[in-house]
Amino acid sequence: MAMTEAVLNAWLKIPGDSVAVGEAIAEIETDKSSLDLESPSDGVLGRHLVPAGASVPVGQVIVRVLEPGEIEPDDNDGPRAAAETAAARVAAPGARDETVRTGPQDRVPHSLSPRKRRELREQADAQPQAASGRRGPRFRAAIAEHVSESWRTIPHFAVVRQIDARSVHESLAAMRGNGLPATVTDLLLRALALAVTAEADTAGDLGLAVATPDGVVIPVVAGVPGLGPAALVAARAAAVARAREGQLSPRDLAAGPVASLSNLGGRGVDSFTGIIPAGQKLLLTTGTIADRPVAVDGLVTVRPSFAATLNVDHRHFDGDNAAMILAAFQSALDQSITWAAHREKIDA
Amino acid sequence: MSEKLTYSQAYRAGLAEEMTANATIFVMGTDIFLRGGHFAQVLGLGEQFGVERIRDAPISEAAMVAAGVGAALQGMRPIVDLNFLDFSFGCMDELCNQAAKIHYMFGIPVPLVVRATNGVAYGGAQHNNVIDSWFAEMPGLNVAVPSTPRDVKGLIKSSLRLDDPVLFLMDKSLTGIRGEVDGPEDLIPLGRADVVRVGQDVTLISYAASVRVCHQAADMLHERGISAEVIDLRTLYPLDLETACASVRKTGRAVIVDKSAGYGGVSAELAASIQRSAFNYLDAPVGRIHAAHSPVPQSPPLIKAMMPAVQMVVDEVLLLTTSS
Amino acid sequence: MPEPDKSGEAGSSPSLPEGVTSEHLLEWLDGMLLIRYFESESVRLSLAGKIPGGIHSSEGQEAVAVGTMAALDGRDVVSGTHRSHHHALAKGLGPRPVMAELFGKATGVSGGRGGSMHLVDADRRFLGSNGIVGAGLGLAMGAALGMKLQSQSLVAVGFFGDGGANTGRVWESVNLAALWGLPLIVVCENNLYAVETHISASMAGTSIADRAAGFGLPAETVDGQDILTVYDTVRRARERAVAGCGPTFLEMRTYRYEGHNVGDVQNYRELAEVEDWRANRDPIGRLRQLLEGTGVLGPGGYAAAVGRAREAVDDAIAFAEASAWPDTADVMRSWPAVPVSAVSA
Repeated sequence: MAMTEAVLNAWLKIPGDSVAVGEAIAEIETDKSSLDLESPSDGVLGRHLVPAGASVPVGQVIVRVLEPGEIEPDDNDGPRAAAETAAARVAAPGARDETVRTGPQDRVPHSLSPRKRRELREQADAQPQAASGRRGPRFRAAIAEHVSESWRTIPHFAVVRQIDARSVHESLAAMRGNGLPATVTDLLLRALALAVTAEADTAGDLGLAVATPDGVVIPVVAGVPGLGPAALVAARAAAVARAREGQLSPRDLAAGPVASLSNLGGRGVDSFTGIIPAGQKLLLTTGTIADRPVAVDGLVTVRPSFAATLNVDHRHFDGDNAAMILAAFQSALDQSITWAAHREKIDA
Repeated sequence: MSEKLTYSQAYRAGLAEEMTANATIFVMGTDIFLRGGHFAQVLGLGEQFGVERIRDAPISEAAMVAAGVGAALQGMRPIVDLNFLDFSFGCMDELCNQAAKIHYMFGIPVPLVVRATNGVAYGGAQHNNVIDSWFAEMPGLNVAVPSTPRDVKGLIKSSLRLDDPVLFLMDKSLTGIRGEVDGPEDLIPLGRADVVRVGQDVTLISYAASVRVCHQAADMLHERGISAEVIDLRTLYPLDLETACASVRKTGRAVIVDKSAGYGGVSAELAASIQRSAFNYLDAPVGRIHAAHSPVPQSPPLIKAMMPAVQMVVDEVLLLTTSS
Repeated sequence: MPEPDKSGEAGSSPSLPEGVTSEHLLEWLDGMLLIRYFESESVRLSLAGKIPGGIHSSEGQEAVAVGTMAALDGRDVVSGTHRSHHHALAKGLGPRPVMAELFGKATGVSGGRGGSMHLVDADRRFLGSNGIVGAGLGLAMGAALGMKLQSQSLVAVGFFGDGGANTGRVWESVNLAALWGLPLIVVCENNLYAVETHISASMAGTSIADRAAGFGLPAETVDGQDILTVYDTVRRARERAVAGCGPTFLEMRTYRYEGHNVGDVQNYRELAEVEDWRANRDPIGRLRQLLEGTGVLGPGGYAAAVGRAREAVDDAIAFAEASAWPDTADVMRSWPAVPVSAVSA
């Protein structure tokens, strides 16, 4: 489900301030999280075209970033004016202005008097701080809306396989031996990505379900199959941090991944089924790795294993596809030992 | 207790009260005993206090001021009446190297008042020098510049009770104006400006005869829906910056009106101080309306052309209110 | 210095002015020697960089100061010139606080705020050395006015030099003093040079006293190197003033051995002239001659007096060196500053 509007929580810069490309100029809140709106270029901030607290449709111009010396046109000038200036827009993720500005870096006179600027600054200071990680009741409501939509529209079925986890310990030991703070989730992500890319046409981005005090957040770990051990560990840790701090990037919100992983193994869960995130087709839900009795060559022995449940959108995949994906998952996991032992060059 | 007196009468009344109460006060000046001074400023006091205390002196400003300083060091409270402030050029050393500095150099206070008439009217360039700020800039001197009879009386009484030198400057174009004055124990302290008209949109700051220009400008601005606050500085040293800055923090705009030529002076001092202290409250730059940088001519239309006019003040305020 | 006249009768003395005793003369000798050594040391210290701004030495003019002050009451007012160390010391200011003032220390007579040209002692009524030529006379004249208005039996003495005799302010003060009959003694200390110009090149006319006479007040020309003459003349002028007879003008002829200020390259006079005054018209030498000739000063007496003077000056220098600098927090010295408002945020 695409985002159609957002709320401008607070202006972080006032008209006349110099801004640098990438610098946060406003804080906006979407259904999924709060995020900073970054300046698309270096320049001087123009007038605030919407007030703090306003609800803004996606794509509406909220402020312009002016070149030094540039005079801001009247808003009545319409589309021509918008076309002639660099505008920071609240946009669908990925659709950013990437105009490169050149020109003299002279000081620009402020368009507002010192008194007006002080008043704006005081107003901004008086805004309640959006503390990181805290989202309002809107967030729970958003989760409710999304999962309800998934429940209503996706015909779910689930396929379970008991996964041999002997390679997991070895892979983890190898990675940790190389100094990486690796977790089971890292191996699960890799195995899932390889399994899904083998069976479905996808780039290998995966969603990762992260529990936060406000509810589950699903950031994206991008390009998993291509990541070495260190890179994957870092990407996973970064995704978890973004989710917990409420600082999701637009890529997290993009409708990209085909599949997500939700690992409740750390919670002592044997197995569970989940609700596929809106816009995705597969969700792998995994349980605890434990030593379990298993029959081998007629004798009972103990081996580590965990339950992996593939929740499937039946519109896109059948049972057979699901079984293949799970088999590929087991293989990929076993073959990860070699990958896990790989020590990347320092400058990689 | 208030009665209506002219500007000159108010000076005489204040001086007479103080001279009656304090036998060490005496006045030296040219033509003061019989004539009462060139502006009738001590008319009648000769009869009241005698030739020793209303003491005629030759045209000898340097000797008069030196005598005043020396007598002050010997325990008296002299007033040297220069008649015209323009004659101070002849006693600059006595005022600035002796009177102003002795307290600092020697640790002995010099309770001397030097009264002079200043301002711009007729009589040509040499009798219409606007040099009030010169004395305010000289460390060691106080400068009083009253614009109303009440302020004249209250300030001369304060000046005569101060232990440091005071240049007491009375504007020649205010000599005949009338107003209420206060009683024998009503003193106006030096260094306290007066908000003589309350307003919201712009602060007009001035002193002496230019205060009236500000009132007239405020009336004209009122018709245009602009409410002007008018501040009368009353003394140039000590200078009451706080009253001016507090007003500008309220209104966001300031125009200073000064009869001196605009190079430096109290209007520049105020403009610099206001922009520094109240910068974040300003909606517009600080404006200054002042006389042309020229000696004062003789012919009336020429004088008018070079002095601050009400319309200039109004125009400046309009400029500052539309450009923010 | 000429040999004391040992051929003179022991015990014979010239007639001294009324009330002056041998003790007084010995005091005057001590007073002049103190000035002499104070000044020579000040010159040395100034050249050594110890005295910011330098000094104007009064060496050679001792009798003018000591003789004048001896004729005054302690509450009489004296005002000086830029060259007034001798006036200050003779008026009773101690060598210690005067030296400390030259150094700029807090223990100086003006708290380090005045320096050589702004020495003061309010209690001893020395209303200052003054940096402006002729200005000190005006202050004394004003003090005399104050004395008259308050019917005080006091006089004021205003010093100025031959250079001041060409300023307007001096004659304005003389005129006003004479016009109002003020108890003022005007002393023109004519040492023949105003900065670097000989009096013959700066003054129209030949006698400063004659100029004064034109203002209608008694005017005398006095040998400033003879302390007895100086004393006597000033005493008579004081009597006249206190009796209400008005001001007196005294032109005292004297000489300065040093230049205008320390470091002054004296291209404007001949060394022979300086040597002549030192040899033949030295005020200390004259008094010494008198005292030894009359037996008031015995063998070794002069050397002892010199020793005392040197000791006092050395002590003053040590005091000045050891004294603290003024507290910079007190630079405004209670003068109200224009309040600078804090920046409003």
